[in-house]
Amino acid sequence: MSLTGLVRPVVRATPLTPILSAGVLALVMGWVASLQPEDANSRMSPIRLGILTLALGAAFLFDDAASGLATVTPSKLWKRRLVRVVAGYIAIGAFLTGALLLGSSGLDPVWAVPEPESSSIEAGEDLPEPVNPFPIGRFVLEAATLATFALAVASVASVPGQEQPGKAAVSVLLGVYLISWMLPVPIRPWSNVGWENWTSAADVLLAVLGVSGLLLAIFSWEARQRRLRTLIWPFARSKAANR
Amino acid sequence: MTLTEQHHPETSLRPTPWQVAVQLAKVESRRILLHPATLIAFAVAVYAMWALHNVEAPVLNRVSASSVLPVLIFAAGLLIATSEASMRVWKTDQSEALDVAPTPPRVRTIGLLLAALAPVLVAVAFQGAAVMVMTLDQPVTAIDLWDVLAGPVLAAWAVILGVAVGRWVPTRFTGPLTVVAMVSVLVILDMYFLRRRFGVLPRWFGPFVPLDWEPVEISFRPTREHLIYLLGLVGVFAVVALLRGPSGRRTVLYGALVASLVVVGIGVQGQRAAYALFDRATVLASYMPPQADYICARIGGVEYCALPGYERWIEEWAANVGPVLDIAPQDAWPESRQVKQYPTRLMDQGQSFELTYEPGVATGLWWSRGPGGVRQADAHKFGMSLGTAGLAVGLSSERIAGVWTEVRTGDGEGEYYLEFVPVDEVAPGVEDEISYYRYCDTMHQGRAVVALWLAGSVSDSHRQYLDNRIEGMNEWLDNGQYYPWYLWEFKIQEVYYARQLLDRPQPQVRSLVSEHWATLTDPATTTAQAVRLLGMDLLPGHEEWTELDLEHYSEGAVRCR
Repeated sequence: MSLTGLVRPVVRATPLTPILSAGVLALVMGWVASLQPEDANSRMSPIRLGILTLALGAAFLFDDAASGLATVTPSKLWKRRLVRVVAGYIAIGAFLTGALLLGSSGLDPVWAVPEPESSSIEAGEDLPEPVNPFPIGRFVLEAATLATFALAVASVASVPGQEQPGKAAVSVLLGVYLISWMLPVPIRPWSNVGWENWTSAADVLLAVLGVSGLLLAIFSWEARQRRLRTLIWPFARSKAANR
Repeated sequence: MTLTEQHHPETSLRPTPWQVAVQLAKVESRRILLHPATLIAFAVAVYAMWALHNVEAPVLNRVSASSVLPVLIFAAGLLIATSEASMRVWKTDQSEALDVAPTPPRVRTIGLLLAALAPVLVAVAFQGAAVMVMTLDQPVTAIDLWDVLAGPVLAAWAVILGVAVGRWVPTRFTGPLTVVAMVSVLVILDMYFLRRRFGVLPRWFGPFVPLDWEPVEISFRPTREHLIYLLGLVGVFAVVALLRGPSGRRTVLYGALVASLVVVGIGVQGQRAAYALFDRATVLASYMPPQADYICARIGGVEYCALPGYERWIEEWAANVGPVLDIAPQDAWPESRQVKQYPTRLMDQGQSFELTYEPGVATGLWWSRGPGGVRQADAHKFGMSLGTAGLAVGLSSERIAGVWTEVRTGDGEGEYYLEFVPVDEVAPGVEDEISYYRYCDTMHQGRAVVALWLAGSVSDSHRQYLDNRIEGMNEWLDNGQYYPWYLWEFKIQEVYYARQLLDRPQPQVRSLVSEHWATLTDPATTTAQAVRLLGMDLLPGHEEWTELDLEHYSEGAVRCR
C-alpha cells in the first residue's frame, strides 16, 4: 500500500491521546516558567519537565492494538511507523512551540546562545544591549532527543504481532532520564546558559539523538527487526509465540 | 450447623470479601514489585542512595531527610506499576465484565490498596538498611524519626495515589503522567515566584521536602506536621479510589473522606503555625557564640570546639590541624589557637557571610569521610589544613565588604560601581549598601605559596587533593582566575609553586622555610621573592601574569594585611 494511502487509517489508529494530555501539562509548565524571573536558567526546570512529559507521550506512538491484523496487510512496518512518527512529532512540535512561547515571555528567544565576546569596549563607545537569551534551539534539541530515544526503545521492545511497547519505553526513558542527571558534568546532557558544559551537553544530546534515530530506523525495518531482536532480545520470539 | 448451610453446603466455603481482598493483595503486590517500572526505579534508587551518601561523614539529622529522596524515586516506579494494575479491571471498557466478575470492583480496589503494604515493607527495609550502614560509620547528631518515617509513608502514598488515578483515568499513560505531574508539583512549590511571596512554607505542601542549602539545625523543617499531612493525603487517595464504581457504603466512604481531609487540615495548619513561630535569626543565634553550648577539647595546644552532637569529629579535625603545626616553625600562629564549628556549609566558602567568626579556624557542619584525595568532599580536610596553614603564615581573616558607590560623571549622571573595603572601615550609614562580602586577597604574596605547601604536606591525600583540583587548569594560569579554598582566594600560580615544593624532600623545604620564616610570612614579600628564597625558578611567563593581574584585577582586591 502506498504511503499516502496509509496516512488516514494509521493516523486514526495512532494513540495520540498521551501526547495531547502531555501537551496540556507542557503548556501549564510553560506558563509556570513565565512566572519565574526574567532569566532563562530559572525557567529551565519547568520547561524541561514539559519536554519530558511530551517524550513520555511519544513513547506510546507505536502501541498498536490491531498489530495482529496489520502484519498481514500489504503495508510495510517502516511505512506505518513513519506515518506515526510524523503525526506524533507534529503534535509534539505544536505543544512545544506553545510551551516555549509561554515560557519565553520577557526574554530574547534565540536559536543558539551567542558565544561571549572577549573584545574590549573602546572609550566613548555605547555599551552593548544586555542579552538575556532563551535558548529555543537547545530546547528543541532536548525534545527531539528524548522523543526519539523513547521511540527507539519502543521500536526495540515491540514484539511483532503484539505491539504494546509503550510501557517498557516509558520505564526505560524515566530511568535513563534520572540517571542522566547523576552523570559526571562533562558527559551530562543537561546544562544551563553560561555553564561550562553548555557545548559538551549539546554534543552528548546530538550523539544520543543520532544513535536513537539509527536504532529506530533499524528496528522499524521489518525483516531486520526480527533478526536483530533475536540477537538483542533472545526471548522475545518465544514470548510472542506463547501468547 | 444451620438449616441454610445444610441445603447449600458450598456457601460455607465462599470466602468473605476481606479474604478475597487479602488474596488479591498478595497477587498484586507481587505483580507491582516485579513490574519493570518498579525494578528500574529501585535500581536507580539504590544508586542514588549510594551516590548521595558515599562522600560525606554521616550527619544523622541530614541523613534522615536525604535517605527519603531515593525512596521517592522508588515510589515513582511504584506509582506507574500500581496505576497499571489498577486499570486492569476497567480495560475492556465493558461494564458487563464488571457485573459478572466474581469479585466486585470495591473488593479489587481494597486488594490493591492492601498491596501497598509490600512496597512499604521494601521501602522500610531499603531505607532502614541504608541508615543502619551509616550509623556504623561514626555518625554525629541524631536521627529525626519523623523525617525518616516520611520514606515508607511516601511509598504508601505513591501506591495509593497510583490506585486512585488508575481507577479514575484507566489509561496506560496515567501513571507516567502522574509521576511527572508529581515532580512538577515538587519543582513548582520550590520556585522563586512562590518563595518570594510565601517563603519556604509552600515546599512543605509537596510529598517530599528536600534538604535546603543550609544545615538542618537552622532550617525550617516541621517534619512531624508534614508526616501528619502525608498520612491525611494517603487517606484521601484511598477513599477517592474506593469511590470509583458501585458501592453500597457511600456514607461510610464520605465520612472517611471528611476524616482524611480533617487530618490533612491538621497537617497544613500545624505547618503554618510552625512557620509563624519560626524565627531564623533566633535559631541561628543559638548556634553561634556566645549562645551556642560548645563542647571543647584541647589537643596539642589547640582548642577544638564542636557544636552539641558533633564532638565526635574533634579527633578528625586534630588530625588535619596538628600536622600543619608540627611542620611549621614553633612560633607560627601565636595567638587564638582555636578551631570552632559554625552553622555553615563548607569551611565558610563564600556562603555564610552573615556569620561573624571568632579568631581561629572556622569549620562547618559538613565533613568528608574516606581515604580522601580524589573527591570534592575532601575539601573539608584540605580546607581545615589550609585554614590552619593560612593563619600560621599570618593571613588575616578579616571580611571585605563590596559597597555600591555612586560617582557623578561629567554629564551629571550617576554611575554605580562596587568598592571593596575592609568591613571595619565601612563608613557609618552605608551598611545597607553592602552588596556582598569576600575575604582578603593573597595575590602575589609569597606566604600564600608557603601556606599551600604546608597544607599539601599533611598527608598523601592532601597532596593528591591539591593536584586534582588544579588538574587541567593550565590555561587559568594567565587569565587571572582565582581559585577559592577556605576563606581566601589563591591564585593558581601560587599553587603551581607549592606543588614544586611538595615534589622536593620535606626536610629540605622545611629547613628553608624555617630559615626564612620571617621574610616569607611578611605581607610585603612577593611570590617572586619567595620563589627565589626557596630555591625555585620562576615559571615561564610569571612576569607577564603579574603585570596582567595588577592591571586587571587589582581594582577589586584588598590585599591581606
